[in-house]
Amino acid sequence: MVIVLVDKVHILVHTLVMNRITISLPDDVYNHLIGEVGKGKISGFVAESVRLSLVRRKMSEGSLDQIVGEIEQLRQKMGKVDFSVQEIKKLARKGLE
Amino acid sequence: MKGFVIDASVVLTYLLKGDKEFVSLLKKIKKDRFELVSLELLDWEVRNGLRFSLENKDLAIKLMILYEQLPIRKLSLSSGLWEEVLKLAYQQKVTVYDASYHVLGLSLGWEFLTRDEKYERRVREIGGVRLWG
Repeated sequence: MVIVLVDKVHILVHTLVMNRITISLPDDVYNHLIGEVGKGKISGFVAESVRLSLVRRKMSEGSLDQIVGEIEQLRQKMGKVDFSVQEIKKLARKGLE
Repeated sequence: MKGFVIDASVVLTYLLKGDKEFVSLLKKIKKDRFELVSLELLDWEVRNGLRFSLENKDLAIKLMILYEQLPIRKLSLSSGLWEEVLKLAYQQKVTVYDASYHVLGLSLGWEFLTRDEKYERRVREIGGVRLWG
């Protein structure tokens, strides 16, 4: 980021380093992308989508630990469960079979 | 992307009795770029399993809500695959429920993980099934 001072007005200029990559997309995804976004705006769209996916990925990593922890806490509350695998399967399909 | 197909015996055992190995598997999903998939049938079986194994309704509901947040993608079988399910069920004398998980695995080229020894023994010659736990 570069700060340029012009007549006491602070203008923030973001200088982003851009990297050029080549990616391959299946036909259907490519056509959908061109149809929705347009050829000239693909880089911006991909950058935004990747940024969002990475944030979601980071968040879900944390939340998985939380989910597993909460399941463990509930299991402690329910006490020991002694069902065999066959009994568990029967319970899962009770009423169906 | 690679992955495993899982059935209700794996998920319900984890929810009701605990399964450290399954937790490790869940945590590896992000790191090792694979996924866990199942059928929509899993949702019904897990909920029914909780309903009939836990007397405490509130506990069962909480557990169900947490189950729904686990990273397990549910898929549907196409009509062509249902034909394979019925063939397998008749041929190996197994239920359509079990055969459907198995055929999903075979169609994806991924192993089907189950805790059901009986099923694994019955279909061993066909392959594609790994006894979990």
